[in-house]
Amino acid sequence: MHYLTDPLQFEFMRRALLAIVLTGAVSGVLGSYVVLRGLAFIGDALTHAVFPGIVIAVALGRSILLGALVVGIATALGIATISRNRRVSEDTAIGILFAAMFALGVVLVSTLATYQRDVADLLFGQILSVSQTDLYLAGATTAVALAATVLLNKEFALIGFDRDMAEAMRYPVFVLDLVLLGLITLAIVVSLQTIGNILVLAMLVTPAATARLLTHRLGTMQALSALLGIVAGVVGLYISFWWNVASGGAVVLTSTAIFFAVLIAVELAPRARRRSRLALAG
Amino acid sequence: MAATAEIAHAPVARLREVTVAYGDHVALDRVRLDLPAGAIVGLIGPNGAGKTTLLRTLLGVMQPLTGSVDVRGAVGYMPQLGEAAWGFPLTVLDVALQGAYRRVGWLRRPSASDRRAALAALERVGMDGLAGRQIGQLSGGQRQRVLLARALMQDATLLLLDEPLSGADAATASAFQDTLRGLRDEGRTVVVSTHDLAWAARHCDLLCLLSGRVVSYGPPADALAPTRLADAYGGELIDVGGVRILAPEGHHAH
Repeated sequence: MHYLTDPLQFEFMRRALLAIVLTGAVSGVLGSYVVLRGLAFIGDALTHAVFPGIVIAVALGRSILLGALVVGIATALGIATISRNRRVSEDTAIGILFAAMFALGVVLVSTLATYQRDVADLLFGQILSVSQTDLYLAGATTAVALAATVLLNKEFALIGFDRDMAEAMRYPVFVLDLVLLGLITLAIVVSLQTIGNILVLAMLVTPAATARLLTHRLGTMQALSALLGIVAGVVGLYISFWWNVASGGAVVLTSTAIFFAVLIAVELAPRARRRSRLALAG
Repeated sequence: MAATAEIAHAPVARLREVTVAYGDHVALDRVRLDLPAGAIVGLIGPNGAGKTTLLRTLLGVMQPLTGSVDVRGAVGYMPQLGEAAWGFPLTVLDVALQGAYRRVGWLRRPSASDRRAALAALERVGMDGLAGRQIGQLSGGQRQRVLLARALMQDATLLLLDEPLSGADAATASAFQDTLRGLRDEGRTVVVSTHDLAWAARHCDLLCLLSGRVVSYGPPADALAPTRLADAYGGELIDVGGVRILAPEGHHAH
């Protein structure tokens, strides 16, 4: 039992556990839309695009969450606007934009030699240095993102399922897409410190993809995805504590292991289960 | 436009000199059309005739360059089958309920009475038995019926159905015919775009033959007069009850 309780004597571990629970919950719920709407590439772009915001925040001694939030929302706006223009294909435009933003971050880092360690922490995650302030900010961000998703869930689902119908029903589809990208950005921002910039995408995609294998109801999928994200986060954090390995990597690998375990279980399950999986292809 | 229908009552929709373009391409040219209350109106014409554009204009999604569009009351819509993401984790009941979302309003969930109404709409198209199914598990015809139930849930005075029966099975076609007649008898107007002239001639009260403009509009026998058909389809294949025939060259064909 002390394997579970020992780490809890440390303040930094208690904070880290809270932070990873928030990460798992918010990434799981928003990640459902990333998976269902095929937004993995846009999600990846957003995670890279926030990098210069983080560097600037570190340089100014401000909260990195705030820096990432401002730049992330601006990028979400840029992506949504570009995707309306037919002259440049959407993935080309996103590719240009996010590579440029990441390059900007790299250039900024090179001018701030003394901050390089902090920035490396952000690329790979440094969950053990989560401060009380970070935790409050992450908590508030998570609450806003989850509340907004719950309140707009029926509209998001309608647009994801049948965009044509949403337009015919005179919904402001473009604005709602923008709001969804903004909420995904919030999820990314919460995960930055715990998982690290480079691995955030895994938290948006893997738990949601696992949940999709287990259900074909949207609400259940979102709840399950959050649960799977939290479980992977907590298990990964303990692994990282006892084996002294990078927390972000441990969490993502745990989540991946769960995905493959579920995938194999579903493949090997009796026919009834298999039939429900066919819905994925449908 | 010799065969314009005589409209006694105020029309549900009135289009006057409506021109719609995508960039340089004029999709609809000075369309003049009155849709009466309580009628099944077939929208026919070759590919690219502007059928979908006309529906989108009636919905208000497309803005005309010139002319006026007046629509009275709520408009319901059933999109083409291929547009939706059928792998989405929604049940048949969830999809039917979507039709009520505008009534339900922002930030709120459908109520128990909305659910009852959705089940009734599904029953009307013979799909209530599968309300709990994931939509991706349905056949094409079943999906069409669920989309029709969703359109019914919009409780519209004017229903626009875009190719609702392409590739439909017999059970679906018959469920559609019954439902359409029921809607007309309730005083609603249903506009159905279709490629199948035989179906349109048999089940519609009025036909609008489109080819970038209104070639003819009126009861099927008038609207489908040979000269009109040749005018709209000249030299192209026409679908008559699933059999494709070659339209005679008209004086408009090149």
